[in-house]
Amino acid sequence: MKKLLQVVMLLSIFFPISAFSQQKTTIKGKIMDTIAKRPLNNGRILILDAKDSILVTFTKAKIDGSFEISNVPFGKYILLVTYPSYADYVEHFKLDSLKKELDLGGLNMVTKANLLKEVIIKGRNAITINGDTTEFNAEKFVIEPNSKVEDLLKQLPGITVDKNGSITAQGKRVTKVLVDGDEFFGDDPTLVTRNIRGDMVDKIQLYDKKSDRATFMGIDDGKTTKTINVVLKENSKSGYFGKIGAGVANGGLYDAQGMFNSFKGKRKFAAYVNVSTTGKTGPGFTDGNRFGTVPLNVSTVDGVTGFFDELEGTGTYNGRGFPLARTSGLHYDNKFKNDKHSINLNYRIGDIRIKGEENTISQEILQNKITYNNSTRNFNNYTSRQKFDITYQVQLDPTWALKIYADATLKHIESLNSSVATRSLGNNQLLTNQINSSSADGDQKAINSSILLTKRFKKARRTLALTIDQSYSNSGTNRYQNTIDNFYSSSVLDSIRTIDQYKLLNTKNFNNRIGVSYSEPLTQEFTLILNHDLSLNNTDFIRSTFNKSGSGNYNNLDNRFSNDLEYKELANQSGLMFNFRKNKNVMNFGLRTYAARYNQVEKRTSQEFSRNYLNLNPQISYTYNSTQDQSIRLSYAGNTSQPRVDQLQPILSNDDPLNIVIGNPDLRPAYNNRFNITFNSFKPLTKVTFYANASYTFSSNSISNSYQTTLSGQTIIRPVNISDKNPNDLTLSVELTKSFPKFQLSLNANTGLSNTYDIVNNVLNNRQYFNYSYGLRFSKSKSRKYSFSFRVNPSYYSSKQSIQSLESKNWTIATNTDITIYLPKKFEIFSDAAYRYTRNNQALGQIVNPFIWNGGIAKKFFKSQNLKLSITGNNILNQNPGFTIRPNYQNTYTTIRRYFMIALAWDFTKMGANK
Amino acid sequence: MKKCLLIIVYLIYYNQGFGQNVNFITAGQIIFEKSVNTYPIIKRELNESKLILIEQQRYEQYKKSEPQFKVLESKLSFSNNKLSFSPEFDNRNDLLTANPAVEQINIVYTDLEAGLRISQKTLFGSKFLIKDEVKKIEWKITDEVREISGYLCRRANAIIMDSVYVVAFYTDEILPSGGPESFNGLPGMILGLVLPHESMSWFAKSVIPSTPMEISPPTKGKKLESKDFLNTIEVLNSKSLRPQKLKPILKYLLL
Repeated sequence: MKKLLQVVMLLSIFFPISAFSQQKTTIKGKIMDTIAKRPLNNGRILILDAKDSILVTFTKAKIDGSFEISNVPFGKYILLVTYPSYADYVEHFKLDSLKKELDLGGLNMVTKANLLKEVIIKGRNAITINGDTTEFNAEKFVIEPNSKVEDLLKQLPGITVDKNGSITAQGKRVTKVLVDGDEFFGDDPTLVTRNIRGDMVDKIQLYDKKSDRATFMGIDDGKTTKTINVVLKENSKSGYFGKIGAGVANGGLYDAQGMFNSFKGKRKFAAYVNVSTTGKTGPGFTDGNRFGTVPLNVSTVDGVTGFFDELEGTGTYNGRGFPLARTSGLHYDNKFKNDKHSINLNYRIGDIRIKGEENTISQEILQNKITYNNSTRNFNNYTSRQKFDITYQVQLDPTWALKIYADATLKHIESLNSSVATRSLGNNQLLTNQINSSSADGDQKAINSSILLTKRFKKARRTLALTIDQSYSNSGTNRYQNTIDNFYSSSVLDSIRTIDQYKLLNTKNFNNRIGVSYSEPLTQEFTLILNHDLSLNNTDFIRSTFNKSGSGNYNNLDNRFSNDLEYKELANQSGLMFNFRKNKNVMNFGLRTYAARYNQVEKRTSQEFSRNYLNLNPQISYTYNSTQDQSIRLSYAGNTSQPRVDQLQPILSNDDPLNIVIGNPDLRPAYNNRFNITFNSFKPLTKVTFYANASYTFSSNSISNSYQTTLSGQTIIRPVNISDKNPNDLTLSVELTKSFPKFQLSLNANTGLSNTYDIVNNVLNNRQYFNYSYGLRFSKSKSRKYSFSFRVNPSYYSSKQSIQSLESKNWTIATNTDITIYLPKKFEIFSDAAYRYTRNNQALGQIVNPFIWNGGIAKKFFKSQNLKLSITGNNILNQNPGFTIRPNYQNTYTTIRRYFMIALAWDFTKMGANK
Repeated sequence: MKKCLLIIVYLIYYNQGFGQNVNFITAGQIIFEKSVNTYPIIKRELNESKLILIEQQRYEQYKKSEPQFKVLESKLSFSNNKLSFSPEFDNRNDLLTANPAVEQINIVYTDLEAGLRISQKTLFGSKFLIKDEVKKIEWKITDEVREISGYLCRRANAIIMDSVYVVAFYTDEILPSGGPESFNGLPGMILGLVLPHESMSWFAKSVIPSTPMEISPPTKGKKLESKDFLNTIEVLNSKSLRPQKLKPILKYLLL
């Protein structure tokens, strides 16, 4: 026991007495931040033994950064200088009898932020990239009071929002905007972005949404939609909010809108009403796909049938004419029983009437002569639609899940059109003159349903999915057509042809598909995915054409232009795919086949046409995620493209008597090859996003058209295979965005080169098209002071045809300047100016270069600034923007011109957190 | 034009850094939480005991009624070169044995400038006052860092009493070279301390900076020379009602 105590006693003497180290030196120096030019007072200077890094001694730097350590025995040491948030300074040194004193001089310290640009130490950053999701932390972006999600999106690097509310992110159009991962009013992004308040948002997630099937199996089928998910703050999930606004303008123009939202936990309810004659305000008909109309062409990718939907092409406002739009909708979604059940309901109703006039001038090559087409059209179109959809999802047990979707659409159209078209040679020598008037009204009913049943097995990545899809649509159209064609030879009237007919069109389509998919993990890295679909499509197409009888009634059936067709397609689609995933590498490869039997019967003549075909679609893609914020993806896909039925055997049509389409039963399938490389990088600390994409496609045996023009001015169009030339297309695009502390700068450049081939009057014609476009965008804003953005987009195109020596080329510069200044007393003034300069088109003569200037003044009232009175001038300089231009093509139209509007808008909100 | 583009690209990639002014803390209070994993400590103690069956039963009883981790709070007040470490409250009554590992027996006063230490130790019901000089620990500095209570701390390792492995985390944002109990000697304040093989740790729960204040040494207790300390313990132990084996607990008494 005594021995033990003696040991402990000895241990208690910790201080090592360096009795023999008489040879000692003094170390001196000074520590500085050289960039900020200041001494680092209280920085710690440590002397460590080089052998085992045991701390020998340490000191603090004085106020001027200097330090002095005396009595350091001879030896080898490490100097370690530390200072909070600076990188360590490390230096090896030796003390021996040669130096009495060691003066290390000035030691430069560097902040960690400068040194470790790639390293994020802690905290929630403004932007993070997690796998393929880019996440923006809303708190890090400052927005105005009562502003909406759209205003927040405009501030996010790499995202642009145009005047219509369409969003582009990382070079692609965003087609889906979700709220907390759920659909909100279907696919109309503006119903989220212009409705939900910016201050309710916790974060914005941007990603490529995969199909339900791909998400479930954890594989990548390459079919993605750019999606934004708006994640709400916890305290914004209970309460109500909305907006009521109305405005009147000179010229009888007006706008009114109301929105109401009530959120309570997982339950979301929303309603809106919107009436507008300016074509500007929000929810509605700016996107044709929004109403999700049933596509009448039976199979979109693989199929061979192709019909013209008599009801398509109306119901969207694209700036042509004067619109009156009324829309309204209801939305409800909720989750029950620990989120195991979820339901999502939407109902929307709306109509639009557009009246206007347009003029088109185009240039064509006709037997080595240039012909000019000039047509003027008057239109008055009305469309109304209603759509109801429901999605119900249930997690039956931990492994089984069921999703049921159904929608129903009712659509009605009315249209009145009249046009005058002339075709002439360069020296004003008239070839044809057409006067056309038509009126139509039609109705469409459509029902779609889809069931997805999925099962996950205990073994990871072993899954089974069953899908059943059904769609039914029935549309009927009545159309009156009156066309008079005058044919001239040498400017003298040669012949007249008149069409005065009544047409009754009815299309019934019934589409069934049943599919099963199975995935099986082969090894740790490999997964096999098998799928098989069986689909049956049935379409009845009845067209009855009546000529006017002597009595003035349309009751003489015209057999040439009447049909009673029945189409049937039975298809087997099989897929075998492999998915490989290891570390940072993801690879998918496999083959899809589509085998179909197609049958077509003309019931009146019992004429039958049938064929079997097989499509092959090999695909491979490879993704390398070098870091969390950087990835590169390479892909190839090939697919067979079958000639459409109307290319093989068209339905004889006299809708356009000047352009006659005839079939080619000898058409062979074409084969398309597509290569793509995409590089994506984001540096969180320097806030630099970089995106580059290159894609190249070429087709062999491509299906093109042969144009045979008669001297009388009629064009006969016949599809043909081009076997000795491969049309190709190359596009390159680069985008670089950098957020500085005070402003944001982005640059982009796009180049396109394409070659297409057709046959013009038995001569192979190569159309070559180049285009370059560049963009520079600068934006700077200071909360409650101002926001400013400037954009300039120069572009150049050139187009050449081998049969014609004339090269068409032109350049355009478009600039856009947006300024909002927030003045004292809650006043704000805003202005956006757009100027586009296009050099005169050599072929088509004079062009207007419009300068469109909108601006106004607004005042906000109340403490929460939720009432806003504004006076806005639209197109203040009254310069008509109504034209579009392409090579050899120019289109001018009537559109809304200058107006001044006075408007009042009230934002209301009551959230759980505000109580 | 090309030159202009280059300049823009350069501007985009160039990133200016700025140094920050650091407010070094010279005075304030740190609340430490000492966490002790009692099971292995009691188990070790039992292994030394001869009354295996009885002690085993008591151990099982203890495991049923007491939490595995005993958490004890303490406070370190510091102002420039003077520091005082003291337990927040005394809670030895609920313990199986009077084990100093699961107690806080020390009030430690340190004057860094004078290199002086005055510790008040409460042992076997009596208070002792020991005057000593500041012990030097041979710290091995590493480049590992972690955050404790919002302060970025650097790790240093040491072996004390020839066999006790110590891991300390110190921050250079707090100037005085102090720490919990009598641990110190690093170029900053120790906010985290772990004795991995002894199943105990101290971590700063909060740091409250303040203006300079008076720090005074403990005065109560029987004055004792440090060289007489061990002898005194042995005598006291042999006189106590339940004498313990000193070997396993000695290192805790010396902390």
